[in-house]
Amino acid sequence: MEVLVFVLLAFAISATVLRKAVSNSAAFSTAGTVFCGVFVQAIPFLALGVVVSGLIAVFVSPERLARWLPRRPAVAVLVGGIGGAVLPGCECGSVPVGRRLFGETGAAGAAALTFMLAAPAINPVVLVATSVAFPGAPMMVVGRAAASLLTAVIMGWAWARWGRPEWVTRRLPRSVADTESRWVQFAEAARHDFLAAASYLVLGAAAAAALHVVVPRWVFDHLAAHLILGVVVMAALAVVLALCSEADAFVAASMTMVPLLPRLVFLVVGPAVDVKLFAMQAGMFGRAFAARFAPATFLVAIVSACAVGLLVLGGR
Amino acid sequence: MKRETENTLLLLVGISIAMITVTGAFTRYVKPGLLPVLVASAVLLIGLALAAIVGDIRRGGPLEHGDHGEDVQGHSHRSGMVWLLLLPILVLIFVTPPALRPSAAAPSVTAVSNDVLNRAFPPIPPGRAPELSLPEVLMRQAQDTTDSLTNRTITVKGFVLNEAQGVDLGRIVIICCAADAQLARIHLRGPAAAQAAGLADNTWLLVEGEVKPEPRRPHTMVIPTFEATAVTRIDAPPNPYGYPR
Repeated sequence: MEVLVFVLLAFAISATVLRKAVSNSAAFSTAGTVFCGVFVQAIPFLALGVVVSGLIAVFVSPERLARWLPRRPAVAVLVGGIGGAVLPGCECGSVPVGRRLFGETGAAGAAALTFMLAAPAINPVVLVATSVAFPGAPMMVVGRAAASLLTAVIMGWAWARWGRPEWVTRRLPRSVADTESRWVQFAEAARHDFLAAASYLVLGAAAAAALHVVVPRWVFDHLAAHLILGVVVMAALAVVLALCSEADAFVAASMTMVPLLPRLVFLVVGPAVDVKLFAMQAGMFGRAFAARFAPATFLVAIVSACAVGLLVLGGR
Repeated sequence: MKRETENTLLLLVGISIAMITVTGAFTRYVKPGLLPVLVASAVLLIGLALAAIVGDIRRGGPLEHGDHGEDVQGHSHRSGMVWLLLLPILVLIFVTPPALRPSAAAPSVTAVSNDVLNRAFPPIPPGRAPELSLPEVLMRQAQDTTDSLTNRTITVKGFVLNEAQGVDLGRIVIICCAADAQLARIHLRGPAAAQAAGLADNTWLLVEGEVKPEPRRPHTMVIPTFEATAVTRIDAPPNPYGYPR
């Protein structure tokens, strides 16, 4: 606490000097602005996410969730994926919600992870944004929903088959004693989830800001019309840029020199795995989990986006 | 980390969001449409922090959790990470980075698009020279099947970009937040372009004129040309970004 007061005072005194230093350096001010952009725009979605996760902590115990879901894991995963359509928001909010649904033992773990991957990509807000961004190509919306759902379901099945609960090293705090009122239980869960997710969001936003300054311009200029190269570059860009899933469709729409298939890959990879999601997953589930889950999701997302894309877009 | 410090950090994050919302600095980072949800998030965060602080004081100590063994371990795991929240607090309250400059925006822009994106745009508003935003001009030029820009005098706002071949009018376009910023530009030519030629970069202008019609070529980047008939210097607008819609 004393440290906090000291740091705040020190910064308050040196604020003018700092401000001048930042605005004099092009790289610093760009990085600072992009950092603030990613952080500020994620905050409302994170707030919505922790409200939902707080409500889950109060009303939906993992045991109850497991009772609601179909007994067979394969079917439960499907239900989790389709259930993702009801959480209107972007990916920042879905990580804490996914973590709450995952619970302590991971009883409904596969379905919870599927929900976490599907929610930011197939909810109505994102799909409407996609159709607005690609007014002449309704197949982009179909392709995005199908490929994202496919990615989420495959990852859920993979978790049910190979996943190990011991990779999830981060524990949720035991819910406060049942004697406390529901309001206190809710506030404690929301408070905990916000602190845990937001501090890793800071890490992810800082990484995205640094990469923005570092990624050379010619990457954008020479985004080849070559299909396979385009797929690889666009998948990498989706991870590096860490765009919000409600905005990425417009960015993809503006990359007019790239064929539609690589842009679909961009839209499918982005909400499933990017630098800020990786940081947040490491924070809420644990590093051992994120180090396995994120790369696997990356590959699955590319493959399913290509497969679905070839089917509905025909390699345009 | 102590629980009080966590609560204070949470309170400060809420306050810093509230501050940039009240001062309007948030438009440097995100689109203005986020105003209501930013207010709601600030209220929620401040509320959660105050509830925890007030609750702890009334109880006379931190909240007792059900199982101590796991809880202590869980806290020691992430105690260091929560300090990271100090970074956005300090940056937002004390530094408040400026709006993006042209050099920072990605150059790829809604200049020309695949034919599948072509559609009929709504007609340009009536009047002698109605103002259109620069991104809208580029989108109409590239995708409008009704060719609404042809032989139509319009007014466009933007800043000066001195290039080797002549002056360009530019505008930074953001869709959602500063991370997706792109630079929209149009070449300034025609009788009044000379007035803009001597100005320094980043001088803001209101330019009247017509967009030179050009054939649509898919898969190529074409920057449209604006035949300027009148150039007026203006002050930099409080919110420098343009928005596609």
